[in-house]
Amino acid sequence: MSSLVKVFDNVPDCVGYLIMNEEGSIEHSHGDLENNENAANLIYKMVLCAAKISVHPTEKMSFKRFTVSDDQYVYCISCASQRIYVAKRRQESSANA
Amino acid sequence: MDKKFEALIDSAIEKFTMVGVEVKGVLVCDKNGLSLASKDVSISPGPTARLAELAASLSGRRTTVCLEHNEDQVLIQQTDKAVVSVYTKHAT
Repeated sequence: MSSLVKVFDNVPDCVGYLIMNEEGSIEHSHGDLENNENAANLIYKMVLCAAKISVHPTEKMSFKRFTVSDDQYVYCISCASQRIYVAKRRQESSANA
Repeated sequence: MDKKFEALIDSAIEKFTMVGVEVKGVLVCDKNGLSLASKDVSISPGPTARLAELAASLSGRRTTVCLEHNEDQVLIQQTDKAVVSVYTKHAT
């Protein structure tokens, strides 16, 4: 199980991460996203929504990864092997300021 | 009304093109997910508005959602009255 968590070791400016299973239950969490059930629920709902949105304007093509960015942080979300991986990273501009 | 939308969409596409990003289509829908205007897009907005709303509640600030698949990406942002989706080629 700890090998799953190691994928986040090399993510630069990572302030928190979250791993959920396909039903939205939290398997691992750390940092800003640790024990944050609200964020986990929202992100799970977003993944279900995003799975139905096509990435291409004319063909049906679902996402491989998606990001949610505001001016301070970026949530990078991807799915693999029946799990949802979320990394919360600081935006470059706020790190340099 | 449609012409105003078209003019806005065209000016948005021009801004993207100026920074070297190729825009393949633009879709504007309201907060309920009903389409208001579109250019070169044949897919209906569906859960786009819901996704933008969830993103805004996750962060509390204005957010941009970017869905990516290889070279294709769609940028979704919620404004005061509408949700805009821009389909582009990923700038590598």
